[in-house]
Amino acid sequence: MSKSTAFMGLMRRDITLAFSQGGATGMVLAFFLVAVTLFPFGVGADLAVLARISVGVIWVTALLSCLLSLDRLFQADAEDGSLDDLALTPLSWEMTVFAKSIAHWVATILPLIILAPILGGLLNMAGDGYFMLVLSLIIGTPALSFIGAIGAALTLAIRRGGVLLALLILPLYIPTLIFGVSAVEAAIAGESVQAHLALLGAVSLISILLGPLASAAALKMSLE
Amino acid sequence: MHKFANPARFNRLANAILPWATGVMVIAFTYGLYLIFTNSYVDSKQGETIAIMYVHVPAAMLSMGAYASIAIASFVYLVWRHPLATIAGRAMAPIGAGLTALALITGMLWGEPMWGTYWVWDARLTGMLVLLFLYIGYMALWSAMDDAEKAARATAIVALVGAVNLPIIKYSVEWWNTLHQPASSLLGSNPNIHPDLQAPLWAMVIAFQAYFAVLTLVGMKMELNRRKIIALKSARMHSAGGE
Amino acid sequence: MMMDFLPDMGEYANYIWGSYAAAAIILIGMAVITVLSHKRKKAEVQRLKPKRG
Repeated sequence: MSKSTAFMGLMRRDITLAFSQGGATGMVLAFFLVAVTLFPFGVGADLAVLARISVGVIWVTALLSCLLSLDRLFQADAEDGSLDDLALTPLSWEMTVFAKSIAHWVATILPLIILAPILGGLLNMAGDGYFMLVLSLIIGTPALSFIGAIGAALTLAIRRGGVLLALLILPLYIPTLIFGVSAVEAAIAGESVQAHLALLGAVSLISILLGPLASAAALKMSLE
Repeated sequence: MHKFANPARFNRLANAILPWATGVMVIAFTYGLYLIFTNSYVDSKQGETIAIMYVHVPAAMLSMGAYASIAIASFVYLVWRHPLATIAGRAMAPIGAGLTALALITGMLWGEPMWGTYWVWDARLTGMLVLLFLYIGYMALWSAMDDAEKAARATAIVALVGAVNLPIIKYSVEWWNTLHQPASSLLGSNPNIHPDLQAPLWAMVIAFQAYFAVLTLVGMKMELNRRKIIALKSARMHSAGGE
Repeated sequence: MMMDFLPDMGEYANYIWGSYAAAAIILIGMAVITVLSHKRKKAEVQRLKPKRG
């Protein structure tokens, strides 16, 4: 099996699994919807208030929804033995993690991005923000998948590792959150978004390049 | 046990250094506190609360220095697998976390008279809070893993990932802060510290550094003993089982 | 009476003494815990070591 075949095959498999019944996609979308809905109950239905917090709420909730899907990223494979099969492919662990991270983004994050503008509407987000909301999520969320994979690999062998995963990963999400929200709020205020998007993209790029290195090291450790 | 790179040698080294480090610590603290409480300098902007700086600044410096040390030790461990490196990291973490907490507490107590509220989400304090989270995550991971060698590697990875991210997080928090409120800093806009303040400040910085060194060395000795206990206990069980 | 020796910190006294108190508690506390733990482990190593005949 050639490396590219193995790579594409792994991605396709992960995406299919996520979309299937009981897979990550449905669960994450449902959580995203329910969690955002909690906010009007919490802060009241004053549309002006909701509009003010809408961008931050959507970004933070998207982040937390992503977190939900991470602890199964490697665990499901570890449980049914497929992780051992993955060790036999011609792919290095770094490439395996890379493929799984992309698949995670396509299968669980992309649907969130599609749902986000609708939730923005629920929260009375200003019209100028919708396009930037989607764009900022597209540029920024790869960081969530690639950094999240590090946490997933580290906590693979730990019982109830999900909470520890959140504790380890959430501080690392802060730059993406800050730059993502500031981009959308700049758009709403009519200001320039370039700097915000550039920084957002830089964080994502660094995560994509360096994340698999750390994740692979962590995976090797967890599997020994 | 072959991996233990001679704990006896480390203990000899530590025992040689400890009296000196403790001496420096005591002298520096005494001298620093003496200078602080006899100092009649009163800052025009901050009044007598400048006295809080003598605790806040060294604590903040050491909290970041400790994390940098843990990151370096982690790198050394991942590359050369030297067992003392991981023991150093484990020993330094609670001290660094405690110093971070102290920096936060004194920062809040300094902020209340300065800004009128205890917490204003300024860039430096918020960055320090995130650093505390990184420490807590590092220590939680140590506790969560049973296998010593896996724990060593996992925590090393976490420390390095945190170290790489920390400058990015600090930059993003500063960015966020300038978006939401005008620049304000505990030390004011003038980074140059009045000469009257320098001597007590440096005394306290040296005192804190010596303190950190002392507790790290003692902590490492303790960690080596803790591992020895585990090894001795398992040796006992094996010999008992063989009879 | 001791307050006569220490400078008058004015209105900020509580914050300043609070900070130094926090410093003392944290620094001394960590030192005590570390040293006590070390002594306990050391004692246990002695206890577990095979007695030399």
